[in-house]
Amino acid sequence: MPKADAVFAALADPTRRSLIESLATRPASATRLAGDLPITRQAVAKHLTGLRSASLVTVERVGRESVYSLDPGPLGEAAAWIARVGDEWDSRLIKLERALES
Amino acid sequence: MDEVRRETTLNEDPDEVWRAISDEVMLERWLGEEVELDPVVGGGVRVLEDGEERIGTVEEVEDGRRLVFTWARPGEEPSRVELTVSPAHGGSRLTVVETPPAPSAPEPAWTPRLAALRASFEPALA
Repeated sequence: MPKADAVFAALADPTRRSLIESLATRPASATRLAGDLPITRQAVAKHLTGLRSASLVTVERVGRESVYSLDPGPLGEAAAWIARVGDEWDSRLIKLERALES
Repeated sequence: MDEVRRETTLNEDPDEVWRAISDEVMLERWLGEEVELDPVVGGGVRVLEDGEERIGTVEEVEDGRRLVFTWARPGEEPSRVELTVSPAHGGSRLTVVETPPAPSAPEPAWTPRLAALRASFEPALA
């Protein structure tokens, strides 16, 4: 059973939020996820380990690859919602600050 | 499911920040490419942002201080957005809280853990 603080810590990092948003779209390997981000595959794997210990992400061996999936239940849905909406507001507030300054 | 909360401190006065969050012309500079928002209770809300449209209704207005509205993308249940402006040293504090739609299914026993999930961060402003 996940601890709320582990889930909170999982979502507190923008890279992990990006990973959650990617996995909300479709399952993927660490290599594919790293391709979408400006960080190494090893860094992605480390973040995925954190997400797994928070029970937000599961991994399954498919052939030679490890494929990661977002928890399909309400916990994964909640994480995906929080990640997406959090990033939307981060982006809007940056634009607001620029609009106010100009 | 819990909420998303963001707080930011701005250099502008509360009046100016209130205008930025309640006036359509200002809103179109940051909330979406097209914004219709009538800042009265029951007023309509329509936001087109990055090609996605959200439609909703203004629920609460405290002039100069607080704006609450619901909005939803097509086919989704509405979420609730609360924007609060307050004076702060050197300017204003803007707080945004977006609360997701209530789950339609009966809540399972572990929901209190989700209820404790709060994502409060300072946005990474340049």
